Amino acid sequence: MSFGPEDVPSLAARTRLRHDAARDTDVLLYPEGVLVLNGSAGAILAECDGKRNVAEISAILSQHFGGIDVMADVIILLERLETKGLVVK
Amino acid sequence: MQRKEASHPIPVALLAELTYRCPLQCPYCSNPLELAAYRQELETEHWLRVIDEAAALGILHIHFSGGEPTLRADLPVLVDAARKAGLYSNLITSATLFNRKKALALREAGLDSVQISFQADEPVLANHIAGTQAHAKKLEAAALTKELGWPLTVNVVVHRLNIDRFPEIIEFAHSLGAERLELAHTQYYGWALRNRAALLPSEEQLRRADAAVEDARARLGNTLQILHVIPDYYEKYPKPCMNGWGSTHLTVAPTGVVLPCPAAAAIKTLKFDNVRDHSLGWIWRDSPGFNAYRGESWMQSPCATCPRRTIDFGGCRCQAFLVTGDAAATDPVCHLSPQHNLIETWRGQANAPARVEPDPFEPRVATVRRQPAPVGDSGSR
Repeated sequence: MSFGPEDVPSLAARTRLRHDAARDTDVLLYPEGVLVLNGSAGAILAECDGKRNVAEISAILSQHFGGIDVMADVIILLERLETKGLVVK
Repeated sequence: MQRKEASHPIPVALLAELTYRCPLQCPYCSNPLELAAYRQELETEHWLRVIDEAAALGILHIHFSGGEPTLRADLPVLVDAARKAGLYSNLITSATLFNRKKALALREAGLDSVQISFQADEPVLANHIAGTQAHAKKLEAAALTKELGWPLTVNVVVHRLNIDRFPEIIEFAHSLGAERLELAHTQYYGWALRNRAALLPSEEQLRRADAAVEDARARLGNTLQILHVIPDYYEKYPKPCMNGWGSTHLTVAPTGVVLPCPAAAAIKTLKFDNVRDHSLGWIWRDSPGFNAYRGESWMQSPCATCPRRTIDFGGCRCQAFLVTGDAAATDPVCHLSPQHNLIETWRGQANAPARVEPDPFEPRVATVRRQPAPVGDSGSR
């Protein structure tokens, strides 16, 4: 499966995204597992609210990173998490 | 910017063993043989403190287990505290006492996921293994779990008596709507060590089981995630037990004793500290029990110079103690261990062509009727 600009991603219901103070990073929690996220991955997932599409999420993230085009990176992350069942569209 | 170096690893998961009381009598139970020594359970306020201290340490997952954790009336209060502390909570239950009222209270408290143990896919064998009429109640609990929207893990402890039903067990878990299936072979500690002769499967049984898992993975794809953990007696190298001693995991036993691994109470040469006397943070960072086998300085030959010592950390300390009497020895499962011949002997018995089936096993009971076989005994039959 692949994500296009119009697809609306959301985190699977069984996941929980939060900041972890001990590691000073964002983490995505799910049954029997955790993904320790780097800064931009956490920021991308925080925008996956089930309403915005990939193009809109990428535009928001682009503002964080000085206007560079991040859509390819957003799609890579979403597809990786979709294969783990952590992101759905 | 100054970079803060962590002098100790940050733990990931806490196994909260709320009680060792349980309505089931499974012969492979991972609880200690001395169940009667664990009746002085922690009070609710102890657990609430443990949960807050766990979150402050960086723990992300809390598994409420036992025994049967739903026997504790304060379970929803503890789940609620875990949720407020940001922990992802999982209930590990035999599910025979999991009714709608309890389930709704746990959902209200914010429980994140549920793992239900099954002994087999069909009731006659399942109830025989559990020592009680549990299977039908578990089916109701699994349906309730799905109805209330929890992610469901089905856990089946695998051994000689149910290993030939892998295709049926996988289909069963799939039909229950499970997202995960843990096919976890018995590892030989506690009650399972005592019942090893009855439980250890043959190599041929293992081969067929593995083939059934591969077939199911190809057929079911992502709809059912299957975790298959084979008995380490059949491995060439030991398992990287707990990712290394005191590295990622804490277990708090019902009495408040804190262990680096659920089986570690069996190591009689170590003293483990109690949350009644110390903070969880001190126990994790500074207690002698947690520091005993951190790093590599404790290792003996052949581990001390082995290139795999950073991969498997010398294997399991509990197994080393239970089989060799020395918790710092190389895990005897390793083919390089000087005591590996013991494992080979036991494996040979499991594969003996003239074996008479089925072997009787001793159900887990609160009063131990006789002493366990001495260390190194191959078990008379």
